[in-house]
Amino acid sequence: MRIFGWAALNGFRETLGAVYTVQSWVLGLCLRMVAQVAFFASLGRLLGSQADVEFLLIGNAVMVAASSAFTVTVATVGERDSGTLPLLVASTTSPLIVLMGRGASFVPNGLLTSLGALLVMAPLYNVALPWARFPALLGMLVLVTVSTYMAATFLGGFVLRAPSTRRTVANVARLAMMAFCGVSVPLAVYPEGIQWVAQVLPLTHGLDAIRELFGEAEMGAVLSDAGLEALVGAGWMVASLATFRLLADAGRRDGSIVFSSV
Amino acid sequence: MRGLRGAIRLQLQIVRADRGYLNEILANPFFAIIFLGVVRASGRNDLTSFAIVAPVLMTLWAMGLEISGNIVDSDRHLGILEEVVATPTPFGTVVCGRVLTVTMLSAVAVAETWFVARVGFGVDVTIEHPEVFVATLLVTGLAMTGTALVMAGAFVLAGGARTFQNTMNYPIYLLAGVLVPISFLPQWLRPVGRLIFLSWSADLLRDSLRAAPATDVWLRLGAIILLGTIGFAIGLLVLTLILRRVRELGTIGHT
Amino acid sequence: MAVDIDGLTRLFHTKNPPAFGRSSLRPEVVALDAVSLQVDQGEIHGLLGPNGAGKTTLVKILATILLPTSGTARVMGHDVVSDTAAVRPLIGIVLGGERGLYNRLTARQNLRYWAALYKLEPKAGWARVDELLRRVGLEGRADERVQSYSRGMRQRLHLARGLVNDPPVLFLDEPSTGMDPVAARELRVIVTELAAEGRTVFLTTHDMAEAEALCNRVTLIDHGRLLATETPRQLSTMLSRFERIECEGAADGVIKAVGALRGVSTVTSKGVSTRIEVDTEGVVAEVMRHLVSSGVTSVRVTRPSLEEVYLSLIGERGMDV
Repeated sequence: MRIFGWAALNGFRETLGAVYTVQSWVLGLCLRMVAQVAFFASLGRLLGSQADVEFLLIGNAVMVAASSAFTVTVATVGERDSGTLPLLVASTTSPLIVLMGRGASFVPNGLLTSLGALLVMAPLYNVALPWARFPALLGMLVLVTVSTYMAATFLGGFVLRAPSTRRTVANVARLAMMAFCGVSVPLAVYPEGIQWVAQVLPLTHGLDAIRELFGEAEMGAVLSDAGLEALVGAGWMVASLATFRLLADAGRRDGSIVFSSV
Repeated sequence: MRGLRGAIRLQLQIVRADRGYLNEILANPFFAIIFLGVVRASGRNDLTSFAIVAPVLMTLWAMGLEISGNIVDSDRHLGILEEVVATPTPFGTVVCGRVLTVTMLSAVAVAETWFVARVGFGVDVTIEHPEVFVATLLVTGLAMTGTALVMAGAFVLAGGARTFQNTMNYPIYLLAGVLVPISFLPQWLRPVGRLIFLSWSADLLRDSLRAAPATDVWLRLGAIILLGTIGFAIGLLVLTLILRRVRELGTIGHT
Repeated sequence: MAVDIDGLTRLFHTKNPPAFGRSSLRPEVVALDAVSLQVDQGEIHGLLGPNGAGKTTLVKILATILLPTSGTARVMGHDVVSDTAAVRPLIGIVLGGERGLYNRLTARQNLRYWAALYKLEPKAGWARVDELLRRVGLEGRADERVQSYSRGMRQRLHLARGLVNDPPVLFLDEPSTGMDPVAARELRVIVTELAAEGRTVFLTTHDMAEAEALCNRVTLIDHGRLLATETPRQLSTMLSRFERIECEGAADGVIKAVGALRGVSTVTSKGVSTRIEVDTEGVVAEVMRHLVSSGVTSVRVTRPSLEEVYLSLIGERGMDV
């Protein structure tokens, strides 16, 4: 755990220092994310149904938080590029823990922007925020982000074997979630096969829970969906741990874990 | 012009070698799925044309944004910029040719979207007014090229493209009514949207897919051409000024 | 005249203004200071100077990439500032180095691009590209990505690029940097051939030996100012005037005896090393004979560095061991 924290702190420092200046962070992220949510929420207006507006707004605002989790998929290669990966693999700590820590610095960004989008956009689109259950909403956002993060880390492991594909893999994964996890499109539209796959993807159950919160459904329903989301997240974490060591070992064997990427 | 053809050929080779613009081309079908899915779920099949047009224009814009951000920067970074300047071919020609190539490549989005609609959703997209459709696509592509030129110049002046590339997508899609028409925007924002050629393209393309006769076609095509030409002219001017300034200051070739 | 430079000056403003005080006195770097020079057609002219002397700046101005602050320069009779359209088709530039090429493309693809930019007809242009690849010895690997090329191969590709438009005037900026001796030798052969074809070659270098071997005339430049223009023969004379012998392990008696020889100007000892400077031609051999016959086996003749030649030209003494 200490290692996780140390890695996260490291990641934070690098993120803030190198990737963003304060202005570009504020301008770029906020404007773009908020516009993205508005883009989809207004689709509901085009459809002429407030229910659709609410569905789209919630789904896409939450998606913002989930999106930020995919930076870890790209970050694994960053580790490789800076030559620290072989050192990690050689260390006694699971490299996975360290990598998860490094990517973690992006997560609060996503959470804050997601929350911001909800707080700002909901009133604009006449969607009532569930103030009474606000803590639950926050908790769900965190849960959704964490479980997506686990799945993204799983992908990150594979991406190590083919680092040039990392951005593409992260993008496709994110888009697939946008399409098939009930962000904008209700799952019922899709054939059964896709619906089944969506059940084991992060975000699907979390979104159900969040929408139930907005709809003032019974806490029991919310909790059961939250539970499913947690289960999915845990499953991906186990998968990550399992495959990561395997991939690291395979990389050690065939020499693909080098000190710099091509 | 030989220089133009050389630039086009080069850009095609670069795209092939880098497997570039893959992100945009891969993203397009997903957006098509999302929009068509939303339409399907709501039962508003009259809005299918909206779901078809939006991904195409989003991809066109995204690719234009990327090439304009990369083109001057990467040549400068590679130290090729000064060599290009020293040739008899005008720098503007080279940039135009390369940007045009990428713009034309984005036509792939049309095929992808058609495929998704047909195979994924069983929707047969009939182009009721094919001449309007084709004309709009062509003119939109040229307007995108002109706009990309301005963006390229702007990015060089701003010293980098990343931040702006990330910002200039969804806000633009929203303002230009790429998915949801401008008429849904608050009054005061609509004129801003009209300044972006995408808004005219979106309306025309949607009209070309509908049975009702398309009105004022020439006028609207003209608006796209005008906006594109203005972009073109400003872009060339900005690039020329940048080059002159760089020749004066001597920062050409330095990172 | 192929190149005619008159009073060419180039100032660079440093990026950041001074921390204290008003920036009314903008700090300036004088890269070129009223340089005047003429190069005849068909001549191989060398511009010799240490790093930072202004060589590359001069080449860039002549290549129309950079504007001068004042003064004029004409290439084949056309002004490089006001008549760039006439100058550009007539020149070839080889700036060299790691940059300047599309790494993910092949050599052939790179060259064909430049052929198009130099407005060559496709058929003629592509034939020319093939011919150039042959000439620089890259045809075997012409269809491999440039990123797999060694430094020497890149330099050769740069040269091919500079020749794409068959220019009467060629500017080479430090062309043999990073090349192994064999490759550098081949380069010299090519340059000589180019001049034999009637082309004017203007090359910059900090390697005196190279300048001496290749050029019809050599101009010495330092801190933006031209010091002298000599033929290699004159350079040679200058060099031999400042040759020195360095040896190790010579006994004190031997050193004293050598110092007493006529033509020996200075003898400096540091530890076991001794340096003997001569100021007359022909003395070197005698000194060496003396040393060797006295049993000193570690002897070598060294030439002065570029810096030392300059400093002597400006009238100061050479430096310590």
